[in-house]
Amino acid sequence: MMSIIKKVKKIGIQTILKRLYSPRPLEQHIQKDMKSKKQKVEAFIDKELTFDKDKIIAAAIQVNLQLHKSTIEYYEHMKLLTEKAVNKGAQLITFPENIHFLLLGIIPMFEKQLNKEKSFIKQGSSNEMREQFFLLGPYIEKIFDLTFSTLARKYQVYIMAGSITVPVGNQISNIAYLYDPSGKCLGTQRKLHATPLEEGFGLDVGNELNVISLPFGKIAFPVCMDATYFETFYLAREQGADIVVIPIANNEEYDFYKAFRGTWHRVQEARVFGIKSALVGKMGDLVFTGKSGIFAPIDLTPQKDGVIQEAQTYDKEEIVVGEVDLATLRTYREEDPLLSDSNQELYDKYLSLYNPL
Amino acid sequence: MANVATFQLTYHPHNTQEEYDTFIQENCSFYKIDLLVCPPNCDRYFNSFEDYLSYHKSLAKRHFCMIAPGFFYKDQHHTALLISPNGDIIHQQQQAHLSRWELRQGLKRGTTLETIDTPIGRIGFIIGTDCFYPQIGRILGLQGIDIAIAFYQQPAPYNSWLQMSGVWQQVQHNQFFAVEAGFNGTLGQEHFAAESIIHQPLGENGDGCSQKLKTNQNGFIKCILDQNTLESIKQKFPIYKYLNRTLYQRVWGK
Repeated sequence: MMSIIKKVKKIGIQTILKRLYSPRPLEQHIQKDMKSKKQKVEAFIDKELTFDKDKIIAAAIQVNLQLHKSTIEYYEHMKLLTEKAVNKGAQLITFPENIHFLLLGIIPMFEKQLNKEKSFIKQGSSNEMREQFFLLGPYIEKIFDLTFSTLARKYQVYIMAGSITVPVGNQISNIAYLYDPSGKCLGTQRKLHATPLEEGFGLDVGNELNVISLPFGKIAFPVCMDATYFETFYLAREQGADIVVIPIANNEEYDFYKAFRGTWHRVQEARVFGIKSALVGKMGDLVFTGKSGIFAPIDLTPQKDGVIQEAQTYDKEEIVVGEVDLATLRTYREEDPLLSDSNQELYDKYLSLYNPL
Repeated sequence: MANVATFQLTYHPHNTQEEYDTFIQENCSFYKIDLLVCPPNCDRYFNSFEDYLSYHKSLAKRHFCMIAPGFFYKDQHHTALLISPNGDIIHQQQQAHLSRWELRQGLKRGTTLETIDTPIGRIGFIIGTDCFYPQIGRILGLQGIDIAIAFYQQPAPYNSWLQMSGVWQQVQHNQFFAVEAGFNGTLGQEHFAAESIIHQPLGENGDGCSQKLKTNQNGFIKCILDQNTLESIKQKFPIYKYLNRTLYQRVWGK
């Protein structure tokens, strides 16, 4: 009897979610938007779309976790950020991890519920979280894809749209997406290392690191915690990556040194450009912090600090724009004074220690 | 608990063994010290390698502590030693990665990276250019070291970001302690600048540096390393638990 009630309840919730997250209003909005701003949009479009092989302008978007009441509001927010980045010359635009959190505000009373019950992300609620990801995932995925595919096409840019945590079959994965200027999804990347929280709700990690060729270089886009592990960037570089983008949603109060442990160091080790996009702000009693930035090997940065550009704040929305000089990176790698060595005999001997004894 | 210490002494080619000895006598407090890490190239204060070795063996015996007397150039390798409180050499390590400059000098790579169990925990070495290679910290970490003895040597001008990209990250990345002795001074025509730092993995707060000597600041620092603190840091943020071995085995560990 209980299971029948549960099933009926689930069907009821699915019906509501289907209506709330229906892509139709957004599709209509996009059609209207594209038509009414046709002239303006065309200004962005280079008729013969070309990218400089040696140099691009990249933008790391730091997104404020603002809970939106509709899919259109969400789209407009992402559009505004993209447009601002494009106006600053950006050709590659990156967004944070779990960028779908902003869509949770569509659920009636979600904010109230958060404030009432405090965080739903707490110990003992892992099953509840898992269920929520299964319920919401399919609807969120459509809105996410529609939003970023449209924005990439509209502004003729590459967009690493951040990541979303969604079901894949009977597993939950945290997946990042890369769109090209035609709006086509060029590839995805599953998060490769879980956090304790994600382990709690059974996140299924990926076992492949993808590197995708773009006109200006090769790009990898592993997710957040993946930058804690040097192996991620090592594998990216092994596969020829020039740029590694890291979307993050770091759920803790800001601490410079804790935040410093990831991308910046991996960039120094792997001799790649690193672009970090952070989700910031509050959702109930959850605090997300981080400084978006564009990083390079120390020797390639004007202040010799490994930073091309970095956000001024760790808790406010910002757009960080910087030049990524791939030609200089390639030359630097050939003459690298410090990190051009390798000791395969040593690695062969000892890195088998990865295998549990 | 481990009482560890290091010192910093700017080297000039005219310096003598007597000056080195006087500095140690006047600045280093050996009370309850378990491990003293000396700066790289301290063999250069001595007339011969034998004198260097015998001096540090006697020092270890006199104060009943372990001593890592920097690293030195011998037989085309950068090599480091660990001397026991009884004056015996209990561990040796060769630098495993070389900079372009070191390659031009004809240095060779070591191809082993072993650790040693001591009364204050398992110890391994990170030497010179190896500071910047994350594979070194990972291999030592996978072997379960508690303390890394590290030697930092980079040409001046000093860049704190460069030094942070070395041992600091190896410590945070693998959650062990490290005693890093930096080399300040002149070798041939080249000037070197460094800080000496006792590192610990980040816990609730702090910058991961328990004690520090600024570049060219001669002096002595010591610190108590608490194994219980280390364990609790690892429990709260268990980095090794989430290693993705399936992914890495495509490249390593076949």
